[in-house]
Amino acid sequence: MLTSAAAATVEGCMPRRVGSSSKRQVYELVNLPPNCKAIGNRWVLNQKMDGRKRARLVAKGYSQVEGIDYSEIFSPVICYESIHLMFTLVALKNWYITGLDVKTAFLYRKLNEEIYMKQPKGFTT
Amino acid sequence: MCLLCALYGLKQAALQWWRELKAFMKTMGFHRASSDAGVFIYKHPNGQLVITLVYVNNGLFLGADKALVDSKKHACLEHWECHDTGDVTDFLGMKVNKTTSHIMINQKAYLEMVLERFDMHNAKIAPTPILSGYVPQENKGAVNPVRQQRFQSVIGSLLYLMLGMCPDIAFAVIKMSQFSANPSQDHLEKAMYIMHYLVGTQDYHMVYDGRIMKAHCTYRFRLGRRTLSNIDQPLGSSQA
Repeated sequence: MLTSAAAATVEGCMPRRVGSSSKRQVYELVNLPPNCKAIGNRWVLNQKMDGRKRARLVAKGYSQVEGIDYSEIFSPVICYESIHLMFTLVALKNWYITGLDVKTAFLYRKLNEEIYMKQPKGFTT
Repeated sequence: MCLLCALYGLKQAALQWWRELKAFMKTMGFHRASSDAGVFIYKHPNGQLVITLVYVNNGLFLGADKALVDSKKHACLEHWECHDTGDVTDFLGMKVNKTTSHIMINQKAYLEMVLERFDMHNAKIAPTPILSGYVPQENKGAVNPVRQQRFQSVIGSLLYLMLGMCPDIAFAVIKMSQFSANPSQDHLEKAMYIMHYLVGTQDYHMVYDGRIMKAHCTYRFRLGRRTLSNIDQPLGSSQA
């Protein structure tokens, strides 16, 4: 949880975040077509354990309607058994192991559906 | 505004990312393990393997040939904006400690958080995860939603620890989780008893020792409550 003072400093991250979204062409500014609903959004502010501050724009996915805004949503992830198996292999064969973290991973793929969202608070034009 | 790309919070965001990942891994020559959607395997013409484990946006690359593994990782670093974590010290909240022949993993940070959340950090230590001879009885009374909610969050945290570094609590957790639909006060106490056990084992590590190959696989054929036969076979041996 953030205190309001901390939240105020976190807000400094927001323009950077909006910058990263427009650089990736995440959205396009349009007028809402008739008979369409725009979903809401909010900023999620967070301070990491090491003191770094993060802002993330999150769409309010709960207002999406099945069949119109999305069709398939199940996303598979790795199971722990595989991780244990791989650690075993690394220990047995003394393999090399290295890691990476993809930043803002969810912002890479184009959407199949047409989704309208309200403009984020503080960045309306 | 009209969204062109997935955004955090959208229902299909995670799936879209997985599709992106799968497509790129394919262009790099990896193929997906059919048994697990998060495991990708690359086989170099000279027989060397690179295995990639992916959990949403966290990736691990492993293999015998350091240069080959690094080249595959760098291809990813160039394709997406990434943070190179280098030597693995952390994966999915587990502390990973690797030496030439050992890997040790520990989930102490997560465990401490769980114990704190359920107000158990100063609790007494229990010697075992479950009382010997304990047979839980089904709760015939009405569902108590407050207790049920608490019971399910306790079991949820324990299940995660069980998969990570505490296989020793597996029996107790699975046994108790069978009563998630309508837990009694006794069931809740026994679930908390598992936490008492974990208080005493929080400094334990799960150790993968590469020098001894002593993995065993046990098959047990049961009919009703009677064990018909028990086959214990060391992994890697050829007898059937």
